[in-house]
Amino acid sequence: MTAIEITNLKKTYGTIDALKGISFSVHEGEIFGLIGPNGAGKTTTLRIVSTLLQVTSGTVLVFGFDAEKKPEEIRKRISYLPEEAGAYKNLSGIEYLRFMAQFYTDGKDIEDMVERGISISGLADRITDKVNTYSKGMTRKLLVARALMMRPPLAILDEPTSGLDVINSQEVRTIIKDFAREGSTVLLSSHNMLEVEFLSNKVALIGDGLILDSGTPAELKSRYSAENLEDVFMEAIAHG
Amino acid sequence: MGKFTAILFKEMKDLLRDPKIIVGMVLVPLILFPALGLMFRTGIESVEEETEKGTGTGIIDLDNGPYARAFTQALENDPGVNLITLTTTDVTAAIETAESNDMRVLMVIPEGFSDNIEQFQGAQIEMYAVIKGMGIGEIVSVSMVDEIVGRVNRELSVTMIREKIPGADPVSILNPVTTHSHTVVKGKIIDVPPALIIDVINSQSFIVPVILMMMILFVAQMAATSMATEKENKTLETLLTLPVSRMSILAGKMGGTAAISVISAIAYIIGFSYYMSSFQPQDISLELADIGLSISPVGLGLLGISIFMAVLAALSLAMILAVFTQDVRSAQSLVSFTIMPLVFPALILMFADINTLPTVLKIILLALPFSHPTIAARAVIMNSYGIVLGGIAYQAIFTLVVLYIAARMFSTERVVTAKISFRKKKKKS
Repeated sequence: MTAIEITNLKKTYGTIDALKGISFSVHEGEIFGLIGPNGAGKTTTLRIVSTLLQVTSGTVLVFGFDAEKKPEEIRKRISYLPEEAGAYKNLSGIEYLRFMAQFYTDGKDIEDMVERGISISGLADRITDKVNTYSKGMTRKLLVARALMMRPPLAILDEPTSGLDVINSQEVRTIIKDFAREGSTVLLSSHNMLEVEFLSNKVALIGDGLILDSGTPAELKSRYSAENLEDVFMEAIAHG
Repeated sequence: MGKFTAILFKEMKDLLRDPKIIVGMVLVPLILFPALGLMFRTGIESVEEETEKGTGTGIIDLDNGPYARAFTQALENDPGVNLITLTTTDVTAAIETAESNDMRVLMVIPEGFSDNIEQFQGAQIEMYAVIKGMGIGEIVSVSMVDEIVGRVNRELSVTMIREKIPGADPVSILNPVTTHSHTVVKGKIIDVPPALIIDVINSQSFIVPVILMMMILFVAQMAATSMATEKENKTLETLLTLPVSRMSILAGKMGGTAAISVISAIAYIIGFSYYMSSFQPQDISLELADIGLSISPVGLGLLGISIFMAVLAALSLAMILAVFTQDVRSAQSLVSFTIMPLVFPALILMFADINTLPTVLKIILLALPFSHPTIAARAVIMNSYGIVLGGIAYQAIFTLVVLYIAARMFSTERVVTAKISFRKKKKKS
């Protein structure tokens, strides 16, 4: 079944065309990576799929629900991690996870979900400390845990390792891989093409509001006779 | 727990743990106001102490006639005067003595004083006020002398009348006409002068606009901060993608802020009441209840609703404004610039009744939701519930319109994309 179906999506901010008519689909259970440079339209696409932004034209279907007409149905099935997301600084890590869990379940299940969040975050005893005492890496891992603890059918992750050092980045990538193995769908974006190559089953190259090409990392590398996705992207731009 | 209550409790927890909110909510009303009051009280008490001691007054009697002696005797009997009779006849030396002996006033009764009074020509005494410092207590004690001379004059007149017109009532001659004031309030005749009743009503309705102004500004800042913090800390985007209606988010945030503002209101009322009590002389016991003007439970309830509606209007306005900003500082600036001009006009009502104002001003004040609690504070004393109910209805309509706009904005992407920033842009090097 198709998790996301985007057809000729355009998004305009005033006079700026952020998306100029993109189309792609993501199947259930896939990790789909959007790669491209800053300002290419990755975050705008993710924000539209997350129902934060409205469509200028075109259609976005998530599990068959139109993002314009049934955003509340989509919100029940997704979990969105913005690139520069923060957590409530005056709450402790566990209070933050508990607060978020209440929107997805109730009763005893809340504590089960929180336990899972604590386990994903790897914060151990520090989970009871206030968020404002966390390092950037700890906060990001808490946020990733928040996004994945409720086992959403679709996780939308914008630059999941943004601002993290090598060790923390590697830990977060492992968390995402483990999560996808359980059957959930992941739509992620990154300008780190090697990261996307490591994580994704399928990739779309996006530049200047257009999809330049898409396929599995192996297909793309073969198509452009490139060794990695960075080279693929440079070739795709050159062929325009 | 429901989704709305989850947001409500998170909001309250988040606000209560914010040191800035605690400072505004506890430190200012419960510590600063009473501290200010204590300072004023201490000042007033030192003035009272100075007055109680009696004004140190030196007197030189160059006349030695019967009226000079009567004058000196009257001064001696006056509790406001601490009289010291000087034996010198040299005024310059007497001034030096006054200065070195902590006397505030020196009076010189000239020769011929008694004769002039005897012949109905009037008499004059020379009075020298000695000012060493500029403390209020010192100035008050000097100015008290005029009052004392007035009292002494009256006593001298009584003595003269008794001597010159035996059998006559000196009080009737001095005050041939007197008045006995009554005041008619709500059809009831009360044996109290009208000025006193107006003073009491004014003192009651003074407290409402001042507390309300402080509260509205504080609550608006708190609401704007709460929304702007979500934007600044990048938590809003996550919140907006949760499976919860945008109205629940808005209502939860407003409810949390409103709950904290109720705690804050109680703190402000306690603090401000203590502050105001510092100015009230302890021996004045005329209360509204004593003159049949107490506020009924219905009136009190209506006043409470009016205040709550004003707070709600401020909350909704602040939420809308905060949506347009990107950070806390910009939100606070925008809210101050916008809400302050809407709150200040209500302060006019501390000094004037709405019905006595020019029509344009009256319309402006009635159009502002923040004026109505002040109007209500006076109206409930007079049991005029019509104007209070009208005000509450208007406030409700105003708030609903603002809430509708806020809800509309919350249901669109504007809540994410709207951007106003008052922060200085960094110059690119």
